[in-house]
Amino acid sequence: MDNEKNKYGYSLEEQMAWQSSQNKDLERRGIFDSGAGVNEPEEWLSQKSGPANEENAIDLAILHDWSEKKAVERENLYSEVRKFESEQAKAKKELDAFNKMTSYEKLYDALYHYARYLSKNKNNIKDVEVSKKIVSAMVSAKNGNFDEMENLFAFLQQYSNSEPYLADALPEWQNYFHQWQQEVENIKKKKFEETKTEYKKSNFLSRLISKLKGEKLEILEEGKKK
Amino acid sequence: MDSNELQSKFTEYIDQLKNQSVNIKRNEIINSLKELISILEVVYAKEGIKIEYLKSDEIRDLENNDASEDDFLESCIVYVENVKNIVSKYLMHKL
Repeated sequence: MDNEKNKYGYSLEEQMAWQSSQNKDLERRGIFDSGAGVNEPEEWLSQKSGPANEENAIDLAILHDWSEKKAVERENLYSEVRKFESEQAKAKKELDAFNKMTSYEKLYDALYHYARYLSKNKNNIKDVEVSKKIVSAMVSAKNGNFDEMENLFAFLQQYSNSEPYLADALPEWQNYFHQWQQEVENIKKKKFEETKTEYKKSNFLSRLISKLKGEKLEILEEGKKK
Repeated sequence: MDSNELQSKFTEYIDQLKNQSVNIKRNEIINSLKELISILEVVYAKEGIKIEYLKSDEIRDLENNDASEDDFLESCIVYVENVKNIVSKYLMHKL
């Protein structure tokens, strides 16, 4: 009868037969146990006996293998994620530290590492000479003389024709150098303005200006009274 | 303020001036001369003395951003000669 069929058009008998076959299939695979409170596949397997269970044992072994393989894959994935997160945290820490560095520190960090890289190539006399040139300019600039550093950058500009790494890095290094020069100039200028103000406060010209201002004020006051 | 203190402030000022660029040093000289002339102008006005400036277009060269060393030196001479004449006129008036 039509009213005994479900909405997909199957009769009650057909539905029950399908459900039974599904349960048997799951039970056979050891994934689903239909009764007796048996939960673990091993326990379930141990309760079975006879040739009919050989197929179950093979399936269960495959399932175990698959499960272990997945566990290893998952652990490897987690390990990769942890490694990535650790590297990301390290990179962020390094970036934060780099951002906090002054232009001078950035320039010296870059030049120091490049000079050290060149100096390792002891078979190449030119590289070693360039390394010495860099160190000399660094020492000179640190003592307030930028001329040697200016010359070094002009030299490195030419040298970079044969050094692709240097060609890429040089504009950034020059930028650090100019920023550093500007910072030094600003500090010098500020210090100069301070000492000038202090000197001007005490020299005789300032005292004369104060006196003249005072007299001018007195004249203005007198004018107001009149 | 005693002369030792003034000397000490002056020495510090010059020490810092030495670290400045040539342009800043030039500006410092020209501004000092202008400042001095302005003060003399005020003193002269107070004394009722008329100032007659020695004029020269050479000082206009400093208005250019690319003023040369020659332009600067020529302007300096014009300002210094003005100061010399203004001060001398005042001293003649007083003596």
